[in-house]
Amino acid sequence: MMKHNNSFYSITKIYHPRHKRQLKPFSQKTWTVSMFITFLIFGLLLTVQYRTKIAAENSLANQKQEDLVAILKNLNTNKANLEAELESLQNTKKSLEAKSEAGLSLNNSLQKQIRQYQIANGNVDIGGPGVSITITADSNIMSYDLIDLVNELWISGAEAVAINDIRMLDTTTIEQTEDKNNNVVLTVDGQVLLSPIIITAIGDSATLEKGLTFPGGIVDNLNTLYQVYPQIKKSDSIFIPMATNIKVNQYVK
Amino acid sequence: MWLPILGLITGVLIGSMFTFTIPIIYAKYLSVSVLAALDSLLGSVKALLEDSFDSAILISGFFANMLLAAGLAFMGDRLGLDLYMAAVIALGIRLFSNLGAIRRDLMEMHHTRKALKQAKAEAGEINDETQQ
Repeated sequence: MMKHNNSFYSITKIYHPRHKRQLKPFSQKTWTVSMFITFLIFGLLLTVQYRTKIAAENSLANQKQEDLVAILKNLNTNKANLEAELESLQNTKKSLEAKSEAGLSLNNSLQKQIRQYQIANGNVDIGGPGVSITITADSNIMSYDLIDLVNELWISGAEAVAINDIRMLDTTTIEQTEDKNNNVVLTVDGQVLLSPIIITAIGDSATLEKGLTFPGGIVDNLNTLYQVYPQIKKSDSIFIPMATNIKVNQYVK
Repeated sequence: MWLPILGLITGVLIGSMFTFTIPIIYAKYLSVSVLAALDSLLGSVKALLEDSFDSAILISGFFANMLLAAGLAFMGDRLGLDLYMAAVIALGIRLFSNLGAIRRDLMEMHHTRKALKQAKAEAGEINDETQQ
């Protein structure tokens, strides 16, 4: 029985055939930690190397010549396309700028025209150098004299004329009528003129004054023939308010 | 048993997480180093099976082989000689011999285990006989 037991124990001792050392279960502590570390480092290095290899393969330096030529061609055509696009866009920009400039100048000229028409139509208050003619109540003035005065002012280059702040427009009438008490009154566009009658005109004040006062001129005539003595005063700041006697067109289309 | 494999997976995961690449001019040195590291690992597995495993030898060999392989490649570049080929060939041969040894060890282990089992069974029969 002992013999059998001995043979059993002897057979449980397993020796490595070549190294003649006992094979035994691995002692976990000694090898796992170091192998864990080395395997970890190996995996890390493997991944880094793999990634580096991929990056190197994708880099331009490692591309095939034909591929590089194709890429270059592609990029060149792209560049040409983009340059053409840039040029066309720049042209568009230039033309748009030109158009905007033209539009701006057109706008400016239209604004000027609008201003001009507003001044002509009496839509705005206006001011400037000019003359004011005062005719006092005691004078014997007729509507014709007023018309002549206004005409003379226009002839002398007045740009705007008003009588008692009533603007002379293209439809303005100067009339002589009788009021309720059968007194003769002067009216401008139906508004009765109260004394003193003040005619204001905007223009070159010296020219306006000369146009009125030259010998044999209208003021001279008024003085000598009708004993009307208008007082002419030059001023640098004549003010004429906007017209209230504007007629709205009904038939002109 | 599973800890080294876990280590490998962890290393790969860490390497994948960081998008770190080395300059391309050093890629060759690293590749030879990786080969050296693989050789060291196979050697360690073999040592484990032959019960001659030593952590100090593994760690020192791991790094020394890596450094030597990379250094050979570097030196070859400097000398205009493909010295890294020497490392690749030597390591390749070692890899195959290591793998062959591991294979044989595993087989022998299997055979001895089988013999042990048989012996145990026979001893059991004998014991049964003696007890009767």
